Amino acid sequence: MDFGSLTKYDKGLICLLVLFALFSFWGTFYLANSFGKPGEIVVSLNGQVFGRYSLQGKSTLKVEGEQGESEIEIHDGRVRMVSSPCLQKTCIKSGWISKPGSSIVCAPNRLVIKIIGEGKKNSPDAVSQ
Amino acid sequence: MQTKKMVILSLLLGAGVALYLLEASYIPSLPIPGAKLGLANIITLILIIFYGWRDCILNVVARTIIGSLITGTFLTPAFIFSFTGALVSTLIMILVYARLFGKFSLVGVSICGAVSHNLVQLMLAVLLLNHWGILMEMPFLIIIAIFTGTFNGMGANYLIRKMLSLPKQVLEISVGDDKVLV
Repeated sequence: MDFGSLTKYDKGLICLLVLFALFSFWGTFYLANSFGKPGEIVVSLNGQVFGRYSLQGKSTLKVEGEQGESEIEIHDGRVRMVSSPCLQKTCIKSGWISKPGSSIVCAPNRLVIKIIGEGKKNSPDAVSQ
Repeated sequence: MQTKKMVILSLLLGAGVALYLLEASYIPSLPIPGAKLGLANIITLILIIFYGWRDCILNVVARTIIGSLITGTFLTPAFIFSFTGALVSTLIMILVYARLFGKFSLVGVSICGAVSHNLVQLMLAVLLLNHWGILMEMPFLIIIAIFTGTFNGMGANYLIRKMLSLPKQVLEISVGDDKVLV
């Protein structure tokens, strides 16, 4: 009886298993980040609630602030300031936010966008850079 | 059962328990916690080849129970994972060996056993502990199982080659009479 070395089916099995491992590796990360209800944003103007909007789907919002009109874009659980009449554009430079509790503020225009709700599960609370 | 056969099977059981205990000593043999080399599977492979599947399953069940009694983990959740994993992986090895041996070499059978052992333990852990996060271990377990399976398969190969080159009288004693599968 010769039990020999690896046959080609053996090598095929190993390749299959490696592929499956890689697939499950990607899969677990994908699943971990896509659970959770989409949150909401609360837009406040001058300290008072202007409106609440869902973070689901795609939409844009125009808000008339102190200095002029700001445009807010919502896209699949994330929100950002697209345009704003302020000088420094810090609010636009903040880019996209998606985590509950985070916010974008445009001080000159007295505009605050804050995310509330559950948002995505299993994402890190903070990342140091 | 003949006395000769019973003696040989008992010796193999003792060897299996010894290997099991060797790896249960909390000296990590692999970088991932909870991953063992599974050397006792070499004994399982030899049993599959030289003895029938009944003897093999009996041996595996006895080895797991005795080993867990000695290490004090009998009937703990870890024992349930270990026992079910060992049983299922043995059954799968027997099936693969009986049906597909022409295509898979012994190493292939061993890899099937190792991977199925790990996956069964993983799924049981997810079920019992009710936490999907455990699934994140799956890719690492599969990769490690490929390596340990290969190692065990090669170990069994080497052992069998040495066994077959024993003097004929000794061989007649150690090789089973009811070679159901081969």
